Amino acid sequence: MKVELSQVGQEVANLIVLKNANLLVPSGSFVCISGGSGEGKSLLFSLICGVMLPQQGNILYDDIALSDMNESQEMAFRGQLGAVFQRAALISNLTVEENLLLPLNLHSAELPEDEKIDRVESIAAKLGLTRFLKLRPDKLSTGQAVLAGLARAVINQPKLFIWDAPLVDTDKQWSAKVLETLSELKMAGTTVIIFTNREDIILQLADSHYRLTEGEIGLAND
Amino acid sequence: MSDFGNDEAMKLPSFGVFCAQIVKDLIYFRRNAAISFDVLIKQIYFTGVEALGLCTLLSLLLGAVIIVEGHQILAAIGQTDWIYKILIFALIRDLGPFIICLVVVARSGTAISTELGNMKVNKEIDALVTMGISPISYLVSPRVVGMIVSLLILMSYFLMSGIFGGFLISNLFQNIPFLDFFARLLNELSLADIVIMFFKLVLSGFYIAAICSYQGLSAQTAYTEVPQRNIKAVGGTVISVCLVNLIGSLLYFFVTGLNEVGI
Repeated sequence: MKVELSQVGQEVANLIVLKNANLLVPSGSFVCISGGSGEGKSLLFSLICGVMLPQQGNILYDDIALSDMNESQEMAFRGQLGAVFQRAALISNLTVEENLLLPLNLHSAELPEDEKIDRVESIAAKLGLTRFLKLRPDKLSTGQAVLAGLARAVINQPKLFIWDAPLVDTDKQWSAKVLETLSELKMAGTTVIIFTNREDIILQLADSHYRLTEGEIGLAND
Repeated sequence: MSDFGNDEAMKLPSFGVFCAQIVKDLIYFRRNAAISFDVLIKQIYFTGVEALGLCTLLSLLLGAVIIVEGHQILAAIGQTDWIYKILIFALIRDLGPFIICLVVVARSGTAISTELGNMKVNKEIDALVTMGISPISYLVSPRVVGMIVSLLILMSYFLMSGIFGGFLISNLFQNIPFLDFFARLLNELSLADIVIMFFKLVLSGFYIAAICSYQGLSAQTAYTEVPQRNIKAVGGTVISVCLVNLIGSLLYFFVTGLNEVGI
């Protein structure tokens, strides 16, 4: 899925956070966007996820803006989108398993229940979450919760994957699982946009690396 | 774009538009029915089943108090049969629905606004929107339906135990068989009493769930907003329950008044 930001501007509490932000992410490419704290990475993440509409400019997904989509087009778009929030944003009154089943039940409702469970167990096993499937999110560590959020985002095999990378001190094992999952997404031709300052992801996987500075997106000087 | 959260400032619509969206969603309850059914069942269990003990105790006590107080006053004026009219007024038409609603506001209304407020601050609502799940369909509508069903369930407990409590205490004053007591009570009961009771419960249930959900979803980014939203939710729901009761009582007197003059 191609994503194009054109002249996007956004204010928060009368503070200009984004101004004339432009970005073209071709279909199937892997893009990292880095930036300092408070530069607006999470806001840009929310805009690209379609949680909110930009105050100025446009964000196009395969040349269609979210505001121009009808209900069925928007549902199709949402079904092709996988997003991981900084603190995972797992639904707190559901177990990890129920969280993973949520997008499946909505966008792949036609799948037999056995196959849905198989998919959940398979992704959980890959990310080391099998033991935690029956637990509520408040029983997970931050790193485990983010892995569960990652599992929820990729379970529907998205065409566009966006990650507001976590501010969490993670170990090598965690990083290996994440890098492996991201590599698989890249190989599957998923468009990936990751907001991160982590060099391992940028150096190993990114096709392009942009930097968000003073409300504008520019190519990083790697 | 889906329900809300997609305008420029991530604000909820006005409460009127929010209620209209709930009603529309209830009419066209289709898109998220598969995933919102669990929320509905949980809401009914938490509000309608777990509050059983509290409501039963309250109604037993209320039924008993009405008989004790009413009997003394009515005996003094030689109108002890009016005790059945008072029981119907207190348990079925006015006090019963009002007390049940207040119990539910204190117990479940605050739980709804706290839960949704925390979900909003945790960005769980954003995650739902991202997945294409309408927060109104998934979180609010099942709570509205669950609240109404729960109020009806609680009211049925309330009536059963209130009538039983009233019967037990009335036996202290006069020895009367239960069937006789029950028949006299039914004799005083009119269709208007039942209709008004349903009117009050359904409308109050809608407003309790809608106001508490609205206030919960109005929280933005700070956990400190959640208790503030709770206070607003309780204030708003208590006022709305009082207004619904007042409107219901006025309707009752309008309808029964017309009947009495033969219209």
